[in-house]
Amino acid sequence: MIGLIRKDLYMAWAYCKTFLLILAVFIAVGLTGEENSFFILYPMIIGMMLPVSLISYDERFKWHLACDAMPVSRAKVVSSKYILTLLTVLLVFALTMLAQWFRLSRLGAVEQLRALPGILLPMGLVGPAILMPVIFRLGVEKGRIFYFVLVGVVCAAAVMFGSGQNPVNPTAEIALPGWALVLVSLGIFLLSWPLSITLYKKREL
Amino acid sequence: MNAIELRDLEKHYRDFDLRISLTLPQGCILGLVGENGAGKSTTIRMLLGMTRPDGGSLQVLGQPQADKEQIGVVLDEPAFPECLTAKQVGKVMAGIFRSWDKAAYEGYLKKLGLPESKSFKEFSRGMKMKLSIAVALSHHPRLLVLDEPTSGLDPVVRDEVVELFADFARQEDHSVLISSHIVSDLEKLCDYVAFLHKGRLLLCEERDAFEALDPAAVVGSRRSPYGVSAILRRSEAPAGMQLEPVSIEDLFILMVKEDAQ
Repeated sequence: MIGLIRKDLYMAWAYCKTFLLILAVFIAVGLTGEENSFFILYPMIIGMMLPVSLISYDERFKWHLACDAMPVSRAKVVSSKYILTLLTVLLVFALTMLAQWFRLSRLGAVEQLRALPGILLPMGLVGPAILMPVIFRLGVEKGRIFYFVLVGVVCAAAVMFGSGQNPVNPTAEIALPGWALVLVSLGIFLLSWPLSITLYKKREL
Repeated sequence: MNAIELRDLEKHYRDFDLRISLTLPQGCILGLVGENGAGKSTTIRMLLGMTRPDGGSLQVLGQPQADKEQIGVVLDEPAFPECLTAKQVGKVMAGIFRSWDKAAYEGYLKKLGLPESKSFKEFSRGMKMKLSIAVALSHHPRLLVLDEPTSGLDPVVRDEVVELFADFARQEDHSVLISSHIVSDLEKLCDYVAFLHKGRLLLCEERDAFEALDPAAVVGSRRSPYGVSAILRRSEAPAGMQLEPVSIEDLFILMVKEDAQ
């Protein structure tokens, strides 16, 4: 498992520098700029795409075949990606929270920060939780199509049902409190994990 | 103990059926030869648990499932992320194999002339294959499983690589299964040769077994670049020789081809 995560970190550094740069820029803009939910939420969207991009590189280099020929179980292959997702989401979450704390404390509105975990963490966890079982079963190409359809559906839903109110505090519109949303999304993520393992074990590479 | 035992191992695809029984005694080198699409890679994948067999049974180093800690594998396509350097590959493998030997790996890199800090994408085909072989050897395996390891290599590199495998096989508990369609490499290396054709094992014998046969036992034979397919009188064949029943169709084809030769 350590070897797999180490390999992913090498690859993230080599191939995803642009991701990391965009991440840094957006967090910085979110820190200094006007109140704009796009700059606050977008780093998490980038963050959750990172592990999926690494799976795509693995397929391109046939690393998944190499893993099958080494003492690496398919459960470990899947788990390494879930752990990486969790680490990425937590890192982006921590950086975004820190940046927003600076911004909101200058404005004297730190209490708004309390709503942010209920938005950021479900965003970072639910997307990969839905996407990864599909990718591990069907491969990255088909999984990507599924991802674009999903994003389209979510955007359409946001346009159709969105209130247009302050996006940094949308929990006022949602029946569940922020902490409950975090728990629900974490639950979905934790259910997705063994599902991906089961599906990947069934896949003929 | 046998290093590998495959008994009626089967895999069925829409347009291809593989059925194979094969034994590799410990301490020996078995060459699996056959044309492209004969089933060599599928056999190796089933052996390693990468592909699920549809029937039959297997044992690898006495276990029903291959213990990959004890097996060094070289696939026909070296499959490392292109951004990794040989040094980084070593660090990744140290986190994968319990018995990873860093010093041995560095020794192989030196011996094979592989730069530590050049990325995999800058390697030639020969260098990529050498790196795969260095990885396969650096965790002290007891069995090497090599799928076309010399394919696409120039003769000098091929010779180096074959020499490495021969070195490995000098220890008496080390065994090697090597698939190739380059017969000259196998001639240098193998104790046994198995000839796979269209998913069927036509011949699996010690390399010089055919020449040693009593001519009276041979009903008909056909030479190919991969070896000899022969029909023998069972009563005249040496005791213990693995034989498969011959179909009328096989008999007919062999007689026709023999006449043509």
